[in-house]
Amino acid sequence: MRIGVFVCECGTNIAATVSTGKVVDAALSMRDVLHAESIQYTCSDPGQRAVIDAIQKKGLTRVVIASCSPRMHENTFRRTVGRAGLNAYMMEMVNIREHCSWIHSDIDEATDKAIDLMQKGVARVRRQVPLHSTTVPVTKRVLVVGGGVAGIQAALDIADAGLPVTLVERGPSIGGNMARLDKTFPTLDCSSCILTPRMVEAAQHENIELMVSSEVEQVRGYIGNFDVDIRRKATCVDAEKCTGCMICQEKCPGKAPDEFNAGVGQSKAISIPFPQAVPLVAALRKEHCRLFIKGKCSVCKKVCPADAIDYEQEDRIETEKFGAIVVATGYELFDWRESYPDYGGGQYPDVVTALQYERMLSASGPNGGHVQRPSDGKEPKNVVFISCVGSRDESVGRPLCCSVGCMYIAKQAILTKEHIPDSQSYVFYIDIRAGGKGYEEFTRRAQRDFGAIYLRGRVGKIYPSNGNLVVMGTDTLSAEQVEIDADLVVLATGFAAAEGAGELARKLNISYDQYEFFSESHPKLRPVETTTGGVFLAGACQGPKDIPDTVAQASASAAKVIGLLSRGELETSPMVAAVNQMRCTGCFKCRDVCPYGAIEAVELRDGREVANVIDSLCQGCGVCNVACPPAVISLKGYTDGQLIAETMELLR
Amino acid sequence: MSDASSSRYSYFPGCSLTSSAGEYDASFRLVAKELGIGLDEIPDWNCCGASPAPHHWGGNLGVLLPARNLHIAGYGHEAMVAPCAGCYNRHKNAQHELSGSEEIREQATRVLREPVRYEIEILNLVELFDREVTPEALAKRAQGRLAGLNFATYYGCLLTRPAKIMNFDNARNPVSMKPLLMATGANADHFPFKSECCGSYMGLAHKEIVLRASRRIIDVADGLGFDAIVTACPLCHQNLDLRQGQINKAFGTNIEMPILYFSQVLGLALGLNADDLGIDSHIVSARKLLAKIEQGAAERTARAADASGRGGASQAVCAAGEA
Repeated sequence: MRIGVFVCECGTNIAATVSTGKVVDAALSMRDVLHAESIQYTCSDPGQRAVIDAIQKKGLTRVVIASCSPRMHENTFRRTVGRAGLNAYMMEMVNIREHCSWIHSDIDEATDKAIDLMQKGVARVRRQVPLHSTTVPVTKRVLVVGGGVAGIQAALDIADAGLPVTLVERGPSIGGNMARLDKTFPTLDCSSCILTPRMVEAAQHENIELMVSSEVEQVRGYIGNFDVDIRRKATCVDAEKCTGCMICQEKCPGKAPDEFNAGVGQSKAISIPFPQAVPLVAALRKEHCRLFIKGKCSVCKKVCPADAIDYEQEDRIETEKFGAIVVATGYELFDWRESYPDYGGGQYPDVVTALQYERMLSASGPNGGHVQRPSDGKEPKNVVFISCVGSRDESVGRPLCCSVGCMYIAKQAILTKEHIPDSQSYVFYIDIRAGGKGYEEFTRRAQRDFGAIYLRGRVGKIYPSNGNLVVMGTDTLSAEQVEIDADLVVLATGFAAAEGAGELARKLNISYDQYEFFSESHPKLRPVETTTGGVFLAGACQGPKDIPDTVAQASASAAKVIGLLSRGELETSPMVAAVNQMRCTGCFKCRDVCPYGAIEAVELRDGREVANVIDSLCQGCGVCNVACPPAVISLKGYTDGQLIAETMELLR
Repeated sequence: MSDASSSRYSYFPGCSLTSSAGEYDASFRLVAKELGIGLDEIPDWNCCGASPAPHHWGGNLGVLLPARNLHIAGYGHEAMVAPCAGCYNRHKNAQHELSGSEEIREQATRVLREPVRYEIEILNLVELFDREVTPEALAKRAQGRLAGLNFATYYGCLLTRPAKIMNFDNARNPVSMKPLLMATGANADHFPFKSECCGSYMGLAHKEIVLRASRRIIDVADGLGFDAIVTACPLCHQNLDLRQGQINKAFGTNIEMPILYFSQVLGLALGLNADDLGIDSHIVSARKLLAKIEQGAAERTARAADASGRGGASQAVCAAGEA
């Protein structure tokens, strides 16, 4: 056995804290270690060259590289030893950077630890055997979850590349939050005017299948081959027959909250959420329908000219295969009411969220764009905007910035002046974050050209007085207490993850942060990938962002998916479980615990039934190893022998 | 409800309740008795330290004074009740400091000449009633006596802050008084100034600060149509009630907003005599409020008589039918 050890200095990242020379000396004193050297940057081209030279000149058969995290460069170095003619898996990486030099300051102790870790790696690589990966075919179909602007963009880009896409949306129409916006900053484009054509394009695209009122129920499988159960929720409307005439909605006697209009105005139990909905199909909400509550009504069935109403309809589950999944489930507004009793906690009708105000401003909103405050329908003259409600506020557990509040407040202040020329807007802000292209100029315009008065400070209290609201706050620039008699107060509420985001993440086996925003694989270099292969992220489900960033990320996700599926086959990791079938007792405890359904029963020639691992399904999680009573399943590359050898080395 | 003879609670009146807020003490004792809550006044209790001890004299006097009360109260009692928000606040702060510092504990032990007992639970009167009386039980006894009234619940600052030490309800939006007030048949609508500053003891040095701060509280309560402000703090009471005339004079207003103690309202709900509860000892008269209660009682009696009259008539008819 001929082992080579390479100790990376990583410039000063490692060498400043770990004495790499001592690690090299320690390596050379170990059995079977024929070669050891330290290299300034092992991952660099000359560094890799040095590794290859040593392997070839000294006839090394195994290699240990003590450097950074395997998450960073394991693949790099596998390719390096592969180029030198070794099996790529005869290389072991030891992490002396993240696990050692970066977290310690004492050079002697850090060096000792680095030597221990290196010895552990040598013990492990000593018992390594060559491994060979196999390939699996790839399903060339894509699932996009969420039909907002992110999902629509990703679906269109992927479909344009010729791949079939299924776009699943849990609501009755695609369009998401962007469809609810009146105008967009900083150009004041009409939001639905730019979004609606994209929605229609998605619906009509030959490669896109639209599934509205549908949710992801369960996800099985792995990159290239996912099996997804999709729940098609009963809407009591036959989508094939419905013509979108809206007569049912007109005649329906059952009042229901208007979710599209963020609770401003009312809707009906059977309705089309908004006039530009795609698909233009009615949906019935049983929890508000008189027939389902009181057992008597069926007006919609009587008036429907297309005979599209079907009260018997039930949820059904469809299972489909996909090669990749794009998650684009978006955001919802942080529910401020519990956290801000000082702002009335939702008891004052004239304290509204910015999204509600957006609907009040919109020409397609409940008042046709005539701004009327909720309490008495009066046109407001003094409008106070409060930024950072449920964002940048540690006292309510929401320290994150919503990243768009400063901009949409400026926009709404401008629109307020356009709608009501004799109005006055006041904006309470912490500081103005306007980092995008043309954004700073836009917030200046709101102040200079539209007369919005900006007050740097927080609002402490809002209370009702003589039919109006008194807003008490501070202006920290003039160090004065301010009281404003307001007709309407608009809260710039922060972003929260969409309802059920955590649950969906668990179904997809992807990670998420404390706010249930999904985590990208690497914050800089892998911004649209998740830690689960084949699952990608787009839009605000990953964190608050504005429309341009959302669209850019969606296209990036699409590019990743197209790249992945352009290959006909995917190489699988050879680090999978294997059963010693001669000693298997056939108890199948392994099959019970396997989360991937990768274990099957096979009959040996002597008639015994034993466990067998389906390589293409196994993800190498190791759960079966632990469950196996006679310990005859092992994970290739992580055998019990290797783990024990490592441990013994540390205990020595 | 507990037996009157078993006094699980040790009672710390403090200076206010034995002088300017005598009606708070009287109404508390009456209501506690009515509800069967036994109270043992701490024998030989001393000053809680109030504001001067911790803020002006320095040293640990602000901790050692309350420590002695806690020490005595802790003997054989489950909890100590301090109806004055200031006393409640001082004792809780002292307890916090005692539990966090070996040094202060040793000092207290030296002063007391025996190992200091400081762990006894400290309750305000609102917390005591919340614990001892369920809204259902109170509703049963109150029989809707206070129906038609709307009370502004006012907690001030001392009950709730600092939030981590006081642990009273919710510092930003305290609601402890509401369930029992609602059980009396009254309303207790959201009062936006429920924990706003009344001006505190600034009344002595800078009267104008108190007038401005207290004015806003009574002004907003008046504007929102409340019948009275309910408080559990003698100092708040003093600023809002005693100075209401000064406020009206200074700002040219004409507000007449009764300020009642929480215990007084519960007493009225239980049908206790208003004079015994010390309602008439306030500067701002509560006669309108009392008249409303009486009027409501009269209406209920009339309705009951009417209903029983109708019932009697129908019974007569039945009887006639049987005959």
